[in-house]
Amino acid sequence: VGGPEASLDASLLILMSLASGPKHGYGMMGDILEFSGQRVGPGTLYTAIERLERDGLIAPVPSADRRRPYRITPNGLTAMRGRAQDLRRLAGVATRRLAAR
Amino acid sequence: MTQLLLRLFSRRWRARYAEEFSALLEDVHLSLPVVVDVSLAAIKARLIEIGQATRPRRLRVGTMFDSGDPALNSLVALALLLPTTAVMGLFALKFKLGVTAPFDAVWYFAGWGRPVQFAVVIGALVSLFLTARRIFDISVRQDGNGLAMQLSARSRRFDLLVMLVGLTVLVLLQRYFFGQHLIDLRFAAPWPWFPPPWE
Repeated sequence: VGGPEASLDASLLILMSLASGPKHGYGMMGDILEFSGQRVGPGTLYTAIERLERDGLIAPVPSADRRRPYRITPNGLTAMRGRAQDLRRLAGVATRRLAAR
Repeated sequence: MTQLLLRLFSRRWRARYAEEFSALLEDVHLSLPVVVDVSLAAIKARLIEIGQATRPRRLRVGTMFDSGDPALNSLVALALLLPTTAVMGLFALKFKLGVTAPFDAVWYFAGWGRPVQFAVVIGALVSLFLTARRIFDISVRQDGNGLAMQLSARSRRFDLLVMLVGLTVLVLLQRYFFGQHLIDLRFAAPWPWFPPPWE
């Protein structure tokens, strides 16, 4: 627990990565490692991509390349705002409880 | 290796993601953790797909071994078992009947090192797997309480026979190669015939 290796679920990490612009799978893995320190495997990544695409939170960007990029959808941005709010609330609770000790 | 990993996913999944996923696998180093990660993702994807199906679905394992011809599948299982059975025969010939020539010839040309041990054990295990998947049928369906799994068995005399021989050979084999009763059958009769060669 703690440190950059504290795990966040892959779906949120993908949404956070795509919030800065469309990326393909390898680009997402590199970006996620850079901003969170968390290594997401290709299988975990595509399990989450499939779910996010099915829920309409991300969408593929037409591309001639085999490395297909994805972008975050307006619904994805709404979901990410909700998750960010949850995380802020949890961080607030953690900070208050630590201060009380 | 990439193609092998892709085959773990269902046809429907591959139709949608195979191209981009194989491109991703070409970009990453295929280390053991990556292979495990991809394998688990494939299992998860298949279970999700089964969960979404309205009709019972057969859980098909090891389709890459399936030739499509039931008779050929049984013969392959038998063929895989033959070298292991032959090795058992060589041990019995040498150590029980005193006919040493065949055993010594194999020793001379191939040795009894790890590659031979590995080949005979894996051969018998794959053979058992092939016969088991012909005899047992696992179907999974979605019901009100989640996923329900049903196991049914078919009586196929030839496959049952191959399976019985495979199990016997493996039980005897583990005594030869590991020198101990990993499986205790609670009767001693067959063992005097198949002592480990160093006894």
